[in-house]
Amino acid sequence: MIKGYWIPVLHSHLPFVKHPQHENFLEESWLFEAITECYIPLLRRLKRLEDENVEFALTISVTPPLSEMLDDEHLMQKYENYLKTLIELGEKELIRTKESDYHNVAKFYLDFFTQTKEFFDGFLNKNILNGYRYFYDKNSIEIITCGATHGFLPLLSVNEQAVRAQIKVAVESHKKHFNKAPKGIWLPECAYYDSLDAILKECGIEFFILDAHGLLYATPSPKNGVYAPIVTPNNVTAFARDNESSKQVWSSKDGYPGDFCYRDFYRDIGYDLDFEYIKEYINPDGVRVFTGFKYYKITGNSDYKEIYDPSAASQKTVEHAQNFHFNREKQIGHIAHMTDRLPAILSPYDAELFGHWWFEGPDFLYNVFKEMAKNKVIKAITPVQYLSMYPQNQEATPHSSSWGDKGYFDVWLNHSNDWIYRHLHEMADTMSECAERYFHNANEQQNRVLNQMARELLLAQSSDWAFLMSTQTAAEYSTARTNEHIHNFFKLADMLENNYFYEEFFSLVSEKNSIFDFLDFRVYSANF
Amino acid sequence: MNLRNKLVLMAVNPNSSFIYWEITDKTVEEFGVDPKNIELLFKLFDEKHHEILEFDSNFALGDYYINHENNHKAIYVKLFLKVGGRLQYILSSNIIKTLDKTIKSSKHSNLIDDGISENLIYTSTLLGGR
Repeated sequence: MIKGYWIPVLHSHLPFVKHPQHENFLEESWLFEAITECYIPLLRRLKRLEDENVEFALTISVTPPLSEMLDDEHLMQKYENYLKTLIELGEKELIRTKESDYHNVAKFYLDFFTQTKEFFDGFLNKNILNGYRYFYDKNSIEIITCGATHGFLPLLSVNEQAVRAQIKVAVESHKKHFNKAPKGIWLPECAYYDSLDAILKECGIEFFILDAHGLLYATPSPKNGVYAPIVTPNNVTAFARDNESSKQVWSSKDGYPGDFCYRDFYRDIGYDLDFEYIKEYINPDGVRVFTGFKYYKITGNSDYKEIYDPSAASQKTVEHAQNFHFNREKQIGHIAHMTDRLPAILSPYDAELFGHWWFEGPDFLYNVFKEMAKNKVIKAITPVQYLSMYPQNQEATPHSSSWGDKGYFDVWLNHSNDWIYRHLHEMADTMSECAERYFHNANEQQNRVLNQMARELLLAQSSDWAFLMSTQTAAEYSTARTNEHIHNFFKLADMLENNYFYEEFFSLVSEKNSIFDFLDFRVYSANF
Repeated sequence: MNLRNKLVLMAVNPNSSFIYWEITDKTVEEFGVDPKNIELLFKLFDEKHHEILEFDSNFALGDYYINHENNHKAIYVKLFLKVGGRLQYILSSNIIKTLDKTIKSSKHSNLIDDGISENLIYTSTLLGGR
């Protein structure tokens, strides 16, 4: 008998990074690593569940920048080369480790990358989006959208049109890549501010997800806590994160990913092996990088590491899936008498946790679905399925919040990144003014310039840059990207204002920052 | 790029807000003040227009983190230019709703109380989380 529901949500996102002028660009590998270690492994597990007739339901946000990159010919050609190089390194590693204890794990990696290529070439037909579309069309997964470029909406809301554009462009991108309008949205960084629901409603969004305190501090208080959604004043449904189930998976200290038999993320042959041997497989300028060949397990809290055993690690995911199921059952048992309906536990995670940071994560997820299908006590569902069962929900106004450190906006607005906002706001104001001025009378060239201005604005707004400045990871790149988009935007605005066209500059920026080929600058007009 | 006066207020968390400003030379000169020698005064008000605090600056372009109580529903800032010992109003910021971090029901349910203790703003300790 079903006693409650589990709503797993994976947020898949990477900022738009494309450098066509370079054969190898360090930050482009963020995408290639995520495809190899996360997106393909997850899709392979979903296919296996389908082949085994195991029922599953999963909600995945595939953000517009990620969709655009996965659909970009230039980047996907680079990805094919990346995968070929990994297989070549795998073959070399098989020879190098022939007489050593590392031979089995080296063989495991060669098989892993070879199977990844087979799945990419075969089932996916060289396009990751095909995999998402396949399950989306069968209703076994629900794909939701996000902000157009993952802009941190509360801090952009000084210009409401900037927020509206983030949502409208996201909806258009979703239609382009998935052939239908999205029903739900993963708000960038789970960040909500008062009255955002009006814009979501206007754009046809039916539900979104809050962090726990976004719902617990709602007005009036939600009678079912985070275990049922609320309906906002503008009639959009808000679900909230359950932190108990999140913590069990998220925490590197107390969560499953920290188990000693799982793969150690940081030890990688890109850093460990002799430079002369590995130099062709790291950055061409000699900077050592992760190759994806990681031969050790976490082992313990010291630097001492033992060789990784993939089969033991995979077995451990069965044990952890059983434990996860056990704890959810216990949690539901504790909650059930306090709610006016069967409780729903919503567990959102960054998709990149599964496979990239936690290599065995896709196996864990696969085993959780199997465990739920076997026990038939908890049913995995999507928010859409929930709303078809419970269309009536308590009305309440959500609390402004985010899922960042301390729960508000500090991560995206502090001394490390506050300088960006005066530029982002000025750009948005300028864009809105231009959209009004040229709405009916832009010639073809002005149209191209205005559309590129809109792209530069959207790309500058990506919350990733402020986040990375804050955490001091890739801060230099994030600062450079922000400055680049500000510069491009005002250069283009100058071309428009002073009636000239700098062809070389325009070609360069439009090839590099080529996101959203459908974009119409008029989205920044109040009359659009 | 248009040069215009700006005074923008943004919420950071329930107890802190961020403000940035830019006052053009033209504005300052209109009041007969030397742009290189300006004195600005900022006053923070609540939704009932009660003054909460004030601070000053000698920079035409700048920013500031304002620490405040979270018992106001909304706040905004007014900027004044000191002209010959008198305050000349220049502009007001946008109004922001403060982040009221309280349980809105006087009758707590076990679910809410449990939720607050169990679900209290969880911070990811894993790289890749926010």
